[in-house]
Amino acid sequence: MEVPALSVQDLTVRYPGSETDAVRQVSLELGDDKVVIVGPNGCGKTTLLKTVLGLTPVTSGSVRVFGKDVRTVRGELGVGTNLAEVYRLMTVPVGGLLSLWSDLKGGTDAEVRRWVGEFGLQEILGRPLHRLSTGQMKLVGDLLALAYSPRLLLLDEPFDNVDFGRRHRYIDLLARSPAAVMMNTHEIELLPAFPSWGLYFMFEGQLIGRFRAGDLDRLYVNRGARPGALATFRTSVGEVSVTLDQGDVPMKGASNLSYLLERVA
Amino acid sequence: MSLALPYTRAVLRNPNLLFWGVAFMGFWFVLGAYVFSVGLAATRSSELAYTSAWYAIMALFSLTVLAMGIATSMTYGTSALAFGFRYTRLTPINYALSLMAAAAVVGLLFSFVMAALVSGLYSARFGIAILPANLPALVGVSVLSGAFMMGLGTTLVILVVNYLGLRSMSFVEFVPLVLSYIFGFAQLYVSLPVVVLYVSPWNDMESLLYQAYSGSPATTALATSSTTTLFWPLSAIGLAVWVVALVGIASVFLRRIRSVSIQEGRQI
Repeated sequence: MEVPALSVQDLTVRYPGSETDAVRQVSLELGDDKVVIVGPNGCGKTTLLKTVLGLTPVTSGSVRVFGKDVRTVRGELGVGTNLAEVYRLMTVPVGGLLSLWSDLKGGTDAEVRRWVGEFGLQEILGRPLHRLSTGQMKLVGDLLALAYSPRLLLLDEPFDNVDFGRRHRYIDLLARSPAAVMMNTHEIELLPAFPSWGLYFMFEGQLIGRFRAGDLDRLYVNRGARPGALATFRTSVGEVSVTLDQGDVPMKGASNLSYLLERVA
Repeated sequence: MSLALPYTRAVLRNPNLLFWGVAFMGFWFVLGAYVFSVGLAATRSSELAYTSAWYAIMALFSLTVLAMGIATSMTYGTSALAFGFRYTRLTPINYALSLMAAAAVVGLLFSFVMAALVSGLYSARFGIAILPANLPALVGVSVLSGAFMMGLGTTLVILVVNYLGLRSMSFVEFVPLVLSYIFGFAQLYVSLPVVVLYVSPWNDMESLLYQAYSGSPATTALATSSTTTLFWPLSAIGLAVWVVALVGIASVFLRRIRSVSIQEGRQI
């Protein structure tokens, strides 16, 4: 049996001093497929991603990356992420950063340098990360995530502050990547660009799904449980269910999950 | 794969480190040469001892600034290290050795800049050439001292990040400097027990730097008429043991480094 790229079982994460769980009893498995997790700010998406990256400790449950426990995994080169903080090993210009990480990943920086050119970012090669605009910094992380042939990509809001043209260029790159992908976003309107991807919603630390991003136009959110619902979950506004083809509030056209839940409530 | 070269470049491009580690020491050298030397006996031996003592203590402070710089810089890279050890070829021992190599090179440079400054200023002040007596020894002790400072800086960071919380960083990062002042000045004016002078890494460095510059063994109290001399091999062994111990501790605890947000260090 092939080892999944990512296996998360009953994961709970609670930050020290907090009285609530940032991530609550989340289970998720990725083989070589791609999924997008949609949720409002503060719902636990980034915490989940940081836990997989080993940046946030597991409170209970387990996270395994290519079969290895995240607490003890070492030297696994197949994981890429766009989280800028993991690239801040020292203060070097972006050009030096690309060389440094190609060395650390045991690859070449030729491909990522070509992308930098294609994205029109040559001017930033001589500047350190902290001198870049928010969008430029995000793009550097996005491109570094895809570089060095990753087999598992963990992307946190990869389109935040990125202009329209570059968004589409990056979507093309993502589509061509053979890597398994877990991508976080709060922008529901982006989902039509990923019709074949798996879809999860995240709300108040709970992961709800799995759906298909291509079915977004057919999904509805309802107050309370419904017979035949695809998923039912409890929130601070009460019990909520997701149904296919009919229901209270269509997801189509909604810009974010918070808005949908407000309407349902 | 080695991070030593990029780290060395990054440290040498740090203007704060260059100011506090080199330029600020230059200011004290000027005071030592032209203000505090008034009344010094005009003999070659006392001028040589005076110059060597100034070199030893200022080089010690300069190297301590390096340890503080390493510690501060590492707190900004905890996420990169936590990720790097899991998902790149970077290993804790490789990282520790790379950083140690970079610190040794920078320590050597700092030490030689101190030597150049003190030679020029004090030779001009006293009207005789007072040059380092033993350059190979100066290289050896500078490299070893740089490595010690890396081990100390890294160990302090891990202690703060994993166990005390980043809010303690601004307190802990001054520990090396405070200890440098206490032990450094103590060896100038107070005859500490010999065993303390061999066990304390700051006094090991000070004694070795003094001997490398002057060519004579350090005494228990460099600025007094103390005649109790220190045996340099014991100082060198003491410092080497500290380097091995700290690099070992750093390598082991680096495996468990926690990713922290630099915002955690905010005091107000």
